[in-house]
Amino acid sequence: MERVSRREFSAGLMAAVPLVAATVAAGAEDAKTASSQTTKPAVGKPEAEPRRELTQVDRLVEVAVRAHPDERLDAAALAEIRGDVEQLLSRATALARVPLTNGDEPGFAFGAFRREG
Amino acid sequence: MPVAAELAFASVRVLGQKLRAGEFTACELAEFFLQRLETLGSRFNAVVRVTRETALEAAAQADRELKAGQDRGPLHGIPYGAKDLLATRGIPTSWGAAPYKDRLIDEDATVIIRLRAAGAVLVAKLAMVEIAGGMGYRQANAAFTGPGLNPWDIKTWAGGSSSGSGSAVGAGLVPFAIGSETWGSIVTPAGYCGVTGLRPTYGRVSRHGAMALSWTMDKLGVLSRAADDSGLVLHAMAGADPLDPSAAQRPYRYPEDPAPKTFKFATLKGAADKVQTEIRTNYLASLEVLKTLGTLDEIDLPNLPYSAVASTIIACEMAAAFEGMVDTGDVWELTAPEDRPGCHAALWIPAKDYINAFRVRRKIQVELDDLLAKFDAVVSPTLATVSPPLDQSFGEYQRGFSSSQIGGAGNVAGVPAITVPNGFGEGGRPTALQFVGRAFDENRLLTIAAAYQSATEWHKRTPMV
Repeated sequence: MERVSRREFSAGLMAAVPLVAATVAAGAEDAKTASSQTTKPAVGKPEAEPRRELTQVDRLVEVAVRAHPDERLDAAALAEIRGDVEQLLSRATALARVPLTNGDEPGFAFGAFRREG
Repeated sequence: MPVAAELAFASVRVLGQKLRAGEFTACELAEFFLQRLETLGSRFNAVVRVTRETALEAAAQADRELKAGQDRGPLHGIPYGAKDLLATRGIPTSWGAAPYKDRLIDEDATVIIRLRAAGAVLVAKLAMVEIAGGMGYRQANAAFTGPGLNPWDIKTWAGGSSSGSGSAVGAGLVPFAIGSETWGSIVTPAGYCGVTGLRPTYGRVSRHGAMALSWTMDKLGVLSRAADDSGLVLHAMAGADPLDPSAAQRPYRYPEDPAPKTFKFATLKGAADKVQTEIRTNYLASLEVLKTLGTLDEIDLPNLPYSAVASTIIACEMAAAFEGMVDTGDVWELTAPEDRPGCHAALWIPAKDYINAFRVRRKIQVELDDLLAKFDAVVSPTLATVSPPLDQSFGEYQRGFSSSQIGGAGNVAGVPAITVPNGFGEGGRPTALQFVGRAFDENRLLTIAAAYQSATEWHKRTPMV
C-alpha cells in the first residue's frame, strides 16, 4: 500500500482538493441512490462536476481518502466515511460544550517507569 | 454415566456438586457439552472452534486430580467457552474477522491461564462480531462465522459483540462463557439471549492476551446462567497481572454466602420512556420485586456527553490499534460492508479531541461516583428492544426507541454492571434488567442480582433447542 509523506500529502492536498472533493461529494450523492455497490475509483478521477465551497466535512473526507487511497473505496464506502466524519465532528461539538479549565486534567494513569520496580 | 439432558442448563454449582457426588466424570461432562457444541453450535453460528482434543485432556486431568483428592474449587472440571478474542496457545484466535480466521497467537491470555488453574475446561472458542464491533457494524451479519443467531428465535440476532458467548450460554452449549465489553458487548448479548451478564469494573480482570479494541474501555466479563455463577468465575479470573498495567491491585474474593440485606436502589427518570411496551411492563414489574428487597428513589444522571466521550475514545484507540488493517488492506476482507471503511475517518480525529474526551471523562467519573455512592445500584432496562430481526438493520428495528444513558456513562466511567433476565417481550424474546454500581462493587451487584433471581424464575427459563 502506497503511503505518502507529510510533505507530499500537503502538496497533493493543496493541488487536488477541488477535484477530489468534488468526486467525494459526487460519490456521497451517488451512494444515496446506489442500488448496488460499484467499484468506481474515488481518487484521481477528475469529473466535470460543478465546483462548490468545500465544507469541513469535505476536507476531512479528502484527508482520510488521500491518506489511504484504494480503488475499493467506492461510492458506498465514501458515504460511510462521510457519515463517520460527520459524527466525529458532532462529538467534538458535544465535548466542546463542557466547560473545562486549565486544571481539568485528563485521567490518564501514567507514571515514571523502572524495570525493577 | 451419561449426563442427563436437562443439565445443559444447570448452574456451575449444581454441575460441580453432581461431579463430586460421582454422578458423572469431568470427561463425561466435557463430552456432553462437546457434543452439544458440535451438533447445535452451527445452528446459532455460535462457535468458531470446538477444542475437543485439549478439552478432553484437561477433563481427564480434572478427573485424576479429584480422584487423588485434589480439588481446585467450584470450577474444577466445569466446561466453558471463550470469546474468540482471547489468545489460546495452539488454537487459532480469529477476532471474528475473516483475515485472521486461521491465525495463531502463540500464548494464552491471562484469563485462560487463570481459568485453567481453577480447573475449568475450555471446550470452545466462541463466535463474535468482527473486531468486537469496533469498525461500526450496523447489522447482524458482521462476522466471518455469519450472524449470531438467538436461541430464543433464530430469525433474530444474538447480540454483540460477544454473540457466541450469549447464544452458547443461552442454548445450553456451555455452562458459562467469557465475553468482553467495550460498550455494551456483554450486556447486549446477555440481555437478548436471556442469560446473566457481568461486566466487571475496568481493571478488575487482566486484559493480557485479549484483542485490544480500546485500551482504556475494554473489560472482560462473564455470561452465565445466574449471578452466583458469575461470581464464582470472576473469583477465578480477577486480580493484578504484571502483564497488564491496567489490571487493578485490589484483591477480589467472591463471598460464598453473602449476607442478605436491604438495598437502596435508584431508578433513572425516563429510563422506560423510549423502550418497547413489553420492556416497560417487565421493568415496572421488576421494580415491584425490588421494592420487596429495598427502597427505590428516582434520580437523574448528570447532564454530560457520555456517548460523545465513549465514541471519541473508542474511535481514537481503535484507529491506533487497527491502522495496520487499513495499511495492509485486510479491512477489505471484513464481512460487513460498513466495517471495511470503518477506520478511515477515525484515523484523523485531532489529538486534542481525544485528550478533551479524557478531561470530560474525569468529570463523568467523579460525578457518577458521587451519585452511585448514595445507592447500592442504579436500575434500568438493559436494552430498549428485544433482539432485532436479521432482515432489518439495528437502526430500522430500533427507530424511535433508546435505552438510558447509564450504559454509556457506566462504560466511560469503568464501573461494573450486571444484567439479568426479567421476562419476555415481542415474539417471546427475552427482556432484561440492569444494575450498575460503584467501581469495584461487583459483590454488591452480584448479591443484588442473586436476590432478584431468588425472588424470580426468569433466569431458569430455557429456549426450545
